Amino acid sequence: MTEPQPKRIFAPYPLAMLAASFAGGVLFAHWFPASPIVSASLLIVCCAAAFIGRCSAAGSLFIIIAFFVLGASCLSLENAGIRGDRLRVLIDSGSLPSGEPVEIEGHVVGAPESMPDGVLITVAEEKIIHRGQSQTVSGNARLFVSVADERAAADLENLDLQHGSRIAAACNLVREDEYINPGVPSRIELLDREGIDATAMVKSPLLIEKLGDPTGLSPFRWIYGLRRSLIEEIRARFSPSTAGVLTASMLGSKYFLDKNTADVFREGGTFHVLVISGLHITFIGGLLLLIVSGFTKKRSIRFAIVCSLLWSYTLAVGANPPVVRASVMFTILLFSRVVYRQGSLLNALGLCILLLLAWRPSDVFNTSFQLTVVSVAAIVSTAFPLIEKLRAIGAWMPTASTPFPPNVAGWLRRFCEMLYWQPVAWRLEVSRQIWTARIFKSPFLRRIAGRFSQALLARVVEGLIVSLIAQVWMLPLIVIYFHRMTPVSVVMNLWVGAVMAGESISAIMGLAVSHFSGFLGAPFIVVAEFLNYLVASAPHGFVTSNWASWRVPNYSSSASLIYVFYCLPVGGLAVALWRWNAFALVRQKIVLPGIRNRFGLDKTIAVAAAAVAAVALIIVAHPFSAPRSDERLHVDFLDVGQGDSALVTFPNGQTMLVDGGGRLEFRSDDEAGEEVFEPDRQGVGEAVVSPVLWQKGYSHIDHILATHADADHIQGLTDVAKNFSVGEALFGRMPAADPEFQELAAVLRDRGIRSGYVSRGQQLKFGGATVEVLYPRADRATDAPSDNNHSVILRIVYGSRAFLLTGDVEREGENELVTGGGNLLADVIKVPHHGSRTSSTQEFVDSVGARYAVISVGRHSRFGHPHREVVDRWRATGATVITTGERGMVSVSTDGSDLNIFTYEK
Amino acid sequence: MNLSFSTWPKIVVFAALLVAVQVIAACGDRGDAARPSRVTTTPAPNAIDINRASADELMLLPGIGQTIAGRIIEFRQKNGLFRRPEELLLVPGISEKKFREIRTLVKTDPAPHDD
Repeated sequence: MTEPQPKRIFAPYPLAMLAASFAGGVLFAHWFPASPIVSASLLIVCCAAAFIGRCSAAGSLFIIIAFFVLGASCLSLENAGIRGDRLRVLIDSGSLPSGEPVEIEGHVVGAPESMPDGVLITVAEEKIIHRGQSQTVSGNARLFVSVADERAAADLENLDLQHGSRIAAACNLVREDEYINPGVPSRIELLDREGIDATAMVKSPLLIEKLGDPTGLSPFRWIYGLRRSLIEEIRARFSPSTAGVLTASMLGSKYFLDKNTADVFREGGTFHVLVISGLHITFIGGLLLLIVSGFTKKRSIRFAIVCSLLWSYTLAVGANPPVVRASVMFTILLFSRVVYRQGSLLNALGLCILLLLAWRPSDVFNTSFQLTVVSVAAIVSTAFPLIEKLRAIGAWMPTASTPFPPNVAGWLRRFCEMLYWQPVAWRLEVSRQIWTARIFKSPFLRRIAGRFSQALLARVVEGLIVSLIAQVWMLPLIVIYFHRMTPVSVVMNLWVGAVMAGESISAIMGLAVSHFSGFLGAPFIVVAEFLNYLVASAPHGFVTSNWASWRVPNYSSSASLIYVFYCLPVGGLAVALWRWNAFALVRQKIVLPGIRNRFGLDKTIAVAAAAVAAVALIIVAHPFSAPRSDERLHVDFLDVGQGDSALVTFPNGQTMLVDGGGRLEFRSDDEAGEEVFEPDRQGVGEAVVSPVLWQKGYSHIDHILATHADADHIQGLTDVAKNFSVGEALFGRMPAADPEFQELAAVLRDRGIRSGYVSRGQQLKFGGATVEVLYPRADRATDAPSDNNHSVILRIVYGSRAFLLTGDVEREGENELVTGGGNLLADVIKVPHHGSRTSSTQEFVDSVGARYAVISVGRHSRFGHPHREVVDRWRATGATVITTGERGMVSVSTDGSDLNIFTYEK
Repeated sequence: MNLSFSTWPKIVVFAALLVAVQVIAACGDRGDAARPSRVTTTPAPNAIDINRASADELMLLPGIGQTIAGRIIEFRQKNGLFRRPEELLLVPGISEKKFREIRTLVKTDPAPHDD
């Protein structure tokens, strides 16, 4: 540390610099697309300029610009390279309508992926037959083959589908978004990133016909077969929760995770250990390296063995992009060791990003890519150098290069000495030198029993530093993508990481030994089960407490610049930590004079850290995220597929969520007694309603109201009650025996949210708006039915405008309303019961006289909603009919006299 | 790390050997398993040709009423002829269970040619 730090600190990291510039180019090309010819000619100009000025600083500048242009051209090339017969092009252009029955021919890619109730197959398409017309296509389709019973399972087994099998399948290919709302990620985009053009649900294995077996020997098939048998064996030997965790974390099959287990990981912020990622690859690679080092000292042989094993593993777990990314990174790092480059990790990361982006430039927009890159960059650029510096402070002893003790605050020096000071090394050093010295080390040191606990403590502190710095860097991404803050994850990561490593090792041992003797293998399996209990069940209460993990809305529109702004202090902190020289005799000058050096830290670091903390607080506490009241009444009809959900924002800024969507599932009574496996699948409330509210910036909803207790209305409110602070829950009826209502009621009780009744004749005032409750009549009995004909019906009046929200009311209820003599007139109506013919009688339609009739319904309703005659009936009265299925979220607002209507999909 | 490098590899190599044995054993199991022979379904001699049958003829099949028969014909008109009897499953309302009951009673004869 004697040499002065270079001025341009990133100068020794050319590849990191180039990677950043390449990624910048890709981003630029996304927002400002240019033709490939323009970018190619620019590229040539830049290369020429760089060549001419190769000896000067301008030359380097031009190289950087050249990489920027290269990034831009790579993205345009990738987009231009999509073939005309690609499935996604055919469907998007309308020549093959989405959802029509077709027969596809192609070969299976990868291994069929088992799921609890079926199997997932990816097919590389060759031919498609639509309405008797056959044509060649390219692209991939993902088929979910439902396996309902044993006979179907036997049929599937007979097919013996493998990687490379040629098959024909009759199915309905679908390429469309399920829910179209602002803030809800598009399903098409997510699938496109995985290279999947369309999906299909295949009702039965009988619809699949095998045309041919793969020829020749392929290592892929062997590896896939192995993985499949391992999954089966794990499921046979372990409890469902443990089997789910093991298959997810070791074999990359997330489908056997049950919801409760997954939620513990999610709430603890450690779900990433269940997705095979950089962490696993590093762990497995490190373990392999350790094994191989036992056999050979030759680096090239080690490299070859470890990499081939690692890549087999990568292939076996499905070669998903995140795993491939991690393996590429590990291979590059290992290779830099082979060629004797104690290469800086930052440079290796740069090379890795360059390679991956050259392969698939659009990965820049991929959540998983961003998370991987940011976390690795955080660890490599900030956490590791910081740990190195702390170690240097703690292990300091007088040498020629560092003759003076570290010039840092006493508490920090003592802390570092506690972790890293080794008296043995010092004694050795003294015995070697001709001089002697007495140095005084930390008084904390004596408290530590031995070297082992010191080493352990050092590892724990290092782990905390890595975990904390990764969290700080990823904060904006986590808030934007997951809307979740988990301070507890800094600690949980260490705990879960360590225990999971133990769990997987003892599970592998258990499986291996059980093959010879079930008796000898049993202890390993018991240990694995116990360790699984420690990570998946024991922390439940801890991680679900309110302070451990909470949900955060995001800033939208121009306020979202705060996320960009956050990068400045974070980058500043990274640079300050990088430049910090603990052994400098004179403290560096600081940018902002007059700040008191209370903690004895370098002032730049202190200022940068305070700035990071301040901006992070603005992001997490989100004081400015919620929209301010604009004296208008807003009603947003969310697209929740088959179901209802409407957000009412009153002129005074108060909010009321009427229904929360949900999925209609038919619960079978015969399974009620035993514990049913609940797959880890997001409900509509979590996947659609909550993100829409977060996108608007809300973390508090004043009222939630369930019109009635059907799943497609009430289920989503359960998630909303969990994710938001809710003022009050309103009901027309509280049917204590209804399972959907019970679930919501339990959450309301847990979170201390009070419930209230609304009934006919009530009027609620919010600012200048009035909510009239038209239906149902009051009935506070706990066994009062809460079905369609007992839906809560609201008429919201503001100025001269009125909205009518009708739930699922049917003919009977409508007749009561029409004959009851109340005022039903409304400018905008949410058509009752998703436009079903059970509702919207002529008399009712006539007495509403709506201008806009909004139907809340899915793109493909299982019940055939909306029924044609109902749509015609509303149109006949002069109303404009808008369905959420076609237009996505429908937003209506009024200032009391005007009426603005806006649909998310034009 | 301060772990002794002489003992670690032994433990790990042992584990690796166990895994390798396991791997080989597992693959052996797969190879040995007798593959069940393919079930072939031969249609009964008086099976109904679902590409030619009228609604009345289709209604002779067990579990097929007027609605479903109508849907079969509508499907046939809209999407072209059935290539295999199994494609009846694409018609809304025909479940796997129902199809298995009528599997031997239906045929597509002759199978429509490609193109």
